[in-house]
Amino acid sequence: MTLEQLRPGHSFPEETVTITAEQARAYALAVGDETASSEDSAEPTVPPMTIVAAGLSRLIDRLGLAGGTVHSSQELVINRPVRPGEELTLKAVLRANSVRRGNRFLTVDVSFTDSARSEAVTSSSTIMAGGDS
Amino acid sequence: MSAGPVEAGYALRSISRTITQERINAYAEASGDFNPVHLDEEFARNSQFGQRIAHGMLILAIVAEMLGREFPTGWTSGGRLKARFKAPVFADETVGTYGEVTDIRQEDGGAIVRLKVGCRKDDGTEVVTGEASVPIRSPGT
Repeated sequence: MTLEQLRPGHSFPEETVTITAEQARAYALAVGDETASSEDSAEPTVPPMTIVAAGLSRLIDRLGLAGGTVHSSQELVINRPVRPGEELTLKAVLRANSVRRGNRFLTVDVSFTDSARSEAVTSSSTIMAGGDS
Repeated sequence: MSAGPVEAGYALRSISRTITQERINAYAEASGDFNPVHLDEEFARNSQFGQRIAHGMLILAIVAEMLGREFPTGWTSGGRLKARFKAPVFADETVGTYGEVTDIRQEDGGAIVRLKVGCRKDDGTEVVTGEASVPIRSPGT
């Protein structure tokens, strides 16, 4: 299916996302966030943006977007802290797909739910996929 | 943080960070986003940007870090962020975050703090602009 064939409401197959302590540490080091490395904490948590970023990169892969894709806007809600190693289910639904000034814009809503089916984090990413073909 | 010291106009402590190509490469590895516009010099040279750019999410992560430092509990338990990416950040540029409380709405057991947040380059170019909200609990609740 091409990008132009995708309709708002399209659901992508669910997949699991698990951020390990090592992945959380690598993310914190990459962004330069020394406060995010909470391994010494009694209740270590994952930097919330790690989860959102993991979802976005999987989304870009899923959409088969070519290089040159540009991130236009981002929304997110953090409902609760996530522990390293906790398994979340990623559900993604296409909210909008339009062409403006020759560029295709895709908005995808993503939820990360826990084993109790409660949303731990939700996000919405708008991506400019480049020239429409 | 309790609702006490926070009032409209309160400015969050800024975070300044230089975005090196090494940091961009590390972010690609950590996030799994290997878009060549961030990593491939030749590809980026032929893109609309003319050179490699940082991931927007790398810059947004610094804004989120600012919110997390200021509101360590509320940010991860009801924090909201809505942001637009306004301009690319190139390797070796330094960016600084900003945040200002615009409104506080009292609720049972606490309040919702609304903020204007963003990130700009040393020359004043806005790279991220947005809004955030964070719940804060009243002491003892």
